[in-house]
Amino acid sequence: MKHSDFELIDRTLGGNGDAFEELVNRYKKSVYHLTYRMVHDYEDAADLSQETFLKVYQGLLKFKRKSSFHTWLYRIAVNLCINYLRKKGNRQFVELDNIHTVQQPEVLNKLEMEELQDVVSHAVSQLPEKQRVSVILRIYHGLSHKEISDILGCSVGTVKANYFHAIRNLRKTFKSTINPQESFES
Amino acid sequence: MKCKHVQQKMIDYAEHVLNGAAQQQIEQHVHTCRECSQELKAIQGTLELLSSNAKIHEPPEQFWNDFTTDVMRKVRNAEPAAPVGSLFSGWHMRMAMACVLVFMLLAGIYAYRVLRRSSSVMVTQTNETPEDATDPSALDAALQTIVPTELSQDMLDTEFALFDDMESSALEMDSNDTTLDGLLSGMSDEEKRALLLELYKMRKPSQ
Repeated sequence: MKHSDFELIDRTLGGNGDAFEELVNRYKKSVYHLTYRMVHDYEDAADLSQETFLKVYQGLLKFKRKSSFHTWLYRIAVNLCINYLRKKGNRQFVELDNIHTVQQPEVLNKLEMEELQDVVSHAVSQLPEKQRVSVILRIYHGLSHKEISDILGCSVGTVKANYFHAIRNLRKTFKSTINPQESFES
Repeated sequence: MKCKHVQQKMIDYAEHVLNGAAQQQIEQHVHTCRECSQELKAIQGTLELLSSNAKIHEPPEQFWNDFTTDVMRKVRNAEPAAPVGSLFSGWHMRMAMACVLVFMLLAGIYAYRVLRRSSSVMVTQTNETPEDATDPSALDAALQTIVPTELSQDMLDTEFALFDDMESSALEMDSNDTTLDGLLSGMSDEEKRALLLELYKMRKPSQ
């Protein structure tokens, strides 16, 4: 029988260590993917993911359950990543242009695809903090603006605005990669 | 529908999150407007490129096993989450609670004496902090400390004036009016107020 997140939390607080292990197994991959996309380093992502679960465990009693468990979990992970990145040295937004000339990602060979993925990852990593988090949570974790606003602790409007500008910035970055004129139908 | 309004809703359109009527309006416009069609393709291309990058290098299965083992080891070594059942059990916990009670009693006596000594001094707090400004009238008052009354009313009632006199970096974006009014048009009054509150907090240090 599959227990809900809140049931597992209750069991953990009741002294059942297996319950917390189940929570870790349930979310470890998504947390790791999130931290990796934030910091772009496998080892650091693993450390930050482990630290996330440790903080979660230590904070379980303070968790008010006003949001879902995974929203709270993501919030802790994002905060840890942001702190880590700030300590490491905040990266400044640099507009990248003409970095690629391919137009159809689906026809690329493996090497080109990897190169393209590096370019995309790099472009996302260069976005300002809130824009970057908005894109990662929306595109790669499929979260709604409302869920992202809960995680970031800001309004839905702020999330929408940051996401909007992130896509506009990335659109400028990728403008040599995309050729919109080819498919106009009128 | 004007090109400007269409382009402001382009991302929502590309993500299919608009309601049916709005989706259809944009679709019709895009079919007859070269500029918007190209803009849409660029946005769709950007979203596709981002999505094509969805997969990351997946660590081997052993990594995940070790991950759980490491986390659980750290958890066991860390301060426990204080199981509910054991909160009021054990002699050491009872002793700790007794100490807390004694401390609170002493603190209470001390506070009472201090208050009596300073009872002639009136301390008034006139500056409302943004954190207190949870109701609309308090927020209006807070806004009036940074902008003229007319403008604060405008900020609440219109979409454009909201970002007048704002530093473009405040929200980590180029907050020019032409790109923002479309976003704001979709917001409820409550959301606008929440955004205003954030802007107010950001501006306060420079006041």
